[in-house]
Amino acid sequence: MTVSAANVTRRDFLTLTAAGGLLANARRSQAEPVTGAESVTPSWVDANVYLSRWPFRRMRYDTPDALASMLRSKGITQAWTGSLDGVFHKDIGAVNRRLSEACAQQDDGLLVPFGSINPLLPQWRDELRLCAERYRMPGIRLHPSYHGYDLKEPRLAELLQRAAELNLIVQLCAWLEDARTQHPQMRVPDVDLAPLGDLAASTSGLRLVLLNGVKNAAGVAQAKLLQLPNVYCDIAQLETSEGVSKLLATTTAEHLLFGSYSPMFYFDSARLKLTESVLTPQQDQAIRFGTARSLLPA
Amino acid sequence: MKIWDMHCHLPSPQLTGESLMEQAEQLLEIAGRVGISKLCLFLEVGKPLGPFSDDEIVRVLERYYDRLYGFVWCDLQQTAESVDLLQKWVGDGPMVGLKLGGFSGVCSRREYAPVFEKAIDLKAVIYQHTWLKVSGNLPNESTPQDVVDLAKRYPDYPFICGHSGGDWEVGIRAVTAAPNVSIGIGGFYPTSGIVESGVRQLGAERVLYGSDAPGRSFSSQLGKVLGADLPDEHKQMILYDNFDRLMQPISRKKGWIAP
Repeated sequence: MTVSAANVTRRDFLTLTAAGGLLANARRSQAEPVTGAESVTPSWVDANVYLSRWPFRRMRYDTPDALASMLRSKGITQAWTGSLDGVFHKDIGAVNRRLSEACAQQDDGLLVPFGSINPLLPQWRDELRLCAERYRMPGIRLHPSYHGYDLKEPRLAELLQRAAELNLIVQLCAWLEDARTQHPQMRVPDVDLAPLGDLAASTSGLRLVLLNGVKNAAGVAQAKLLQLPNVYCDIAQLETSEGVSKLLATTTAEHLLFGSYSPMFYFDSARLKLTESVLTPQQDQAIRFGTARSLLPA
Repeated sequence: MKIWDMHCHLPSPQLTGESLMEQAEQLLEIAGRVGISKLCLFLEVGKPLGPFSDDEIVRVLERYYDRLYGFVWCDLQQTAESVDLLQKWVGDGPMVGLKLGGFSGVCSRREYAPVFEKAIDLKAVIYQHTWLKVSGNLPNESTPQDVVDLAKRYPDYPFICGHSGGDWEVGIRAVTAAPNVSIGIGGFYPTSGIVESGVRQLGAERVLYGSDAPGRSFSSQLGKVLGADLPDEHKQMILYDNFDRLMQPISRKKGWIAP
């Protein structure tokens, strides 16, 4: 990947040239194999990152410092960070407080907390308000299948509307693990996304990001969703050769975000997808940071 | 690093090329973007390949002899036919290996021995698909334990346990019991730790990179190796050296390298 300086802001440019990244990129041949550490890019947002532990496996980078260090080494400048505790714990208030504190400990603002909300638990409306007003989070993350509701749940519609009114981005995680390899006593279905189009279309002010919701770029349901002006998705789960290019046949780069699903997935698996597909500099920058920036509150 | 991908499929609805040659060229071009220089194609020649003829398969493999390998995809349940296909495509043709898929029969069953003995006689590289699905395997789908049972009957011959069993934490442990079994790490999501686990339990020499493209992304699977917490020396073994080593006997038999 080479960086087009024409679309780089002055601040980005200074950051980049200070690190030697732009010159390094300019010298790099496109034919060079992509097997080493990627050179520095001006700004790069990872919209799909988790803190804390997966209950069924210890993972490298499952501590805040280790995760942050890895992301910085890859060139990530901002990571939208949820908590795996928010998937499994019932004390969501404590989960969100710890997430906020852990992210704040990274002095450079790398980790941006996205709190968990479970609309089936008591006081979820208060917790939603805390995410927005006390913790100043830009968004929240939902895990419907792990929290035991489908997208027809009436409280979800209310949650989306309230989140929009609080100017919170809503990340809806459709999947965490291949259903074929789940623990035999902890089998959780993928989220049925069919009702989501109507929900998204009818919720004024909603900005909805689908995480781990697009496995195959040819999926008709996802393509329809991504044609809505307020629905976006990341690329962590995306498979097939040239997956990003294929996805761009159904939507625009302004609806796509870079997401690695670290540390559950190897970061490099998502990173290389931007090289496997032929992208224009504008598309590449939109996916790396442009779409994310457009979603963040001013 | 030098990278060969030992697990690809043609033809595929994921590719837009109208001919097999066009699809092969498209796949090579995409692979090249992420530094992969050679592909191993699993070719289901035993079944109708749509508009593609046997002659076209030969033309593709001969045209790109330096960038493509072909494995003949057989069905163990069609035992005699599979033996004939191996002779046709590996013994007398341009292919170098045997691919067995999820519908191809449970490999540990002794009545399928003629297929494996033919492959061994031809020095074909043997790739066996495996999965361990919590939802239940297909009726004719092999598990890593099946590969171990098979491999113990031929302890001097190497076998590749495809997909690492899918549920790799179980699959890798299963194949530790057979030193002549390697794992293929392609064809499932890039869950952190799979490659490190394979190296820790089996040794880097028994872990092979392959993607399962174009159904899977080259990148998602390559990232498993490049992102692993391993020295470059081990990564190079997984990306190239190990498969190259498995290719030596058949390459010598075909006269492609010196005896």
